[in-house]
Amino acid sequence: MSNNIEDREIIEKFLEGDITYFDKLVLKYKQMVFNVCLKMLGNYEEALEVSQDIFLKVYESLKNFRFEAKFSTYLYKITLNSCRSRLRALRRRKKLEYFSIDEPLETAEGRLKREFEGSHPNPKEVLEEKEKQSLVIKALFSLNPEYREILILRDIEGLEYKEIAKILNINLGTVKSRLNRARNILKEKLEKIL
Amino acid sequence: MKDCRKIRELFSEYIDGVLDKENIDLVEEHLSKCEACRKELNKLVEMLKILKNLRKEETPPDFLETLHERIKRRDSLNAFLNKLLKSPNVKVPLVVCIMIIFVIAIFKTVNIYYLSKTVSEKEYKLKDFIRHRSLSEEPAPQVSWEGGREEKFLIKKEAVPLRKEIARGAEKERINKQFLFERISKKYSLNIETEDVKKAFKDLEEILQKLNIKIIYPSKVAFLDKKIEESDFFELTINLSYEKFKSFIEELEKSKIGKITFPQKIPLNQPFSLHILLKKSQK
Repeated sequence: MSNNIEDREIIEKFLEGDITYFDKLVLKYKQMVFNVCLKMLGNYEEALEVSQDIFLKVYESLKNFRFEAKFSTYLYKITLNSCRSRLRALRRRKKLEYFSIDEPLETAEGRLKREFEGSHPNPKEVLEEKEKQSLVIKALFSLNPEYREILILRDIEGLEYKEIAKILNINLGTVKSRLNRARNILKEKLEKIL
Repeated sequence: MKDCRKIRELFSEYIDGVLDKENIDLVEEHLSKCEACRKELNKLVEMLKILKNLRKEETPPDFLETLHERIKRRDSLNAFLNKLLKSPNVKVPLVVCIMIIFVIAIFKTVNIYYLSKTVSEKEYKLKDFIRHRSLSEEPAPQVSWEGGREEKFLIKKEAVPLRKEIARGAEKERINKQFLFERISKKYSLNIETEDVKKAFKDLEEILQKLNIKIIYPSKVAFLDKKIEESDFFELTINLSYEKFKSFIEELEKSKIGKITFPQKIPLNQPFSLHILLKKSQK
């Protein structure tokens, strides 16, 4: 709840005219938005572009935000909607590729090796973990977007059922059944590594 | 096995801790007895652990900077659009639009007026055309179609129904005694019965020359001469107006050429063709 109050204060100050408060919102949520996009789209560049688009949308639509829901809920909604539209567009263009977590990252400062959070002192463990993660991401991406998004919201982002229901605009029963189904499908796909 | 399937359906909620007390007891009781289900549950827990621990990728360092640039571009575009919509400059295209609409409206009005005018003129000409066609064997005079583009338009779009309509109107008018002499037959013929066909022909020829009336059939008078030598009758066709027709009849009567029979009534104001049959009277 305190998080919600903090968001409200930031948004109000931004709407009063202090644009630096928008940066605070971006810095707070950019990783969440980007990672959801990345898991939904499975492509680094696409995820980056869509994340930028999402914040641009937020920048323009914040004046209409009425605080009826948490800002994070609102942001998740926008994020998932943007990802769905981009997925549709990409499917039409048949331009969908998996990203590899080992692939170097192109930035303005040159090609960088992707760094991930967490520390793994044992190189063997690091390799195993990387392989597992790569397989999980691929399996996740092979799911129907409907199942993928609910797994992202619940099992990766750790959201409550009620919030998921609000974000996806479905009832609690549907959240439970869809989540159960999604988990079972993913478990079948990952049978080898489990 | 049936129980296992039912119990496994509850695993998801069981792990999340949203299962009711009754079902929790059911699951736990089953798990204490079934090793396969315990394994399944462990697999699920393991998978969720992997998902939860999926590493979060960092956004590129220039993420915010790029976003600022995009916002700046968007703001300037919005400012430009607002300026365009709110500034007085927008009146220029509006005024231009209004002017264009106004000009089109005037053009259309003038066009419609002009068309209606030309239609009525044409109607008149077409009436004449139809009358002439129906009353004379002479080739129909060329109806002048003036008016350029509008005429083309009219002919394309309206000429066919218009012609029909005009034709119907002309027919009615004709029936309504437009002419003093009602038309009986399409061909107008005049019979002259005489005792001396050769003399009558010479007289007739003189009269036609006097009145300056051309013989249109046969095309060469020599044929007539030849025919007169051979037979007791001959025929010829002339074109003439009502006035000339009157003079022609007067001259014929003066010359006492023979018995003149003219059963038809002729048009007053149209030139027409007259078929003259000269034959020997039967006693």
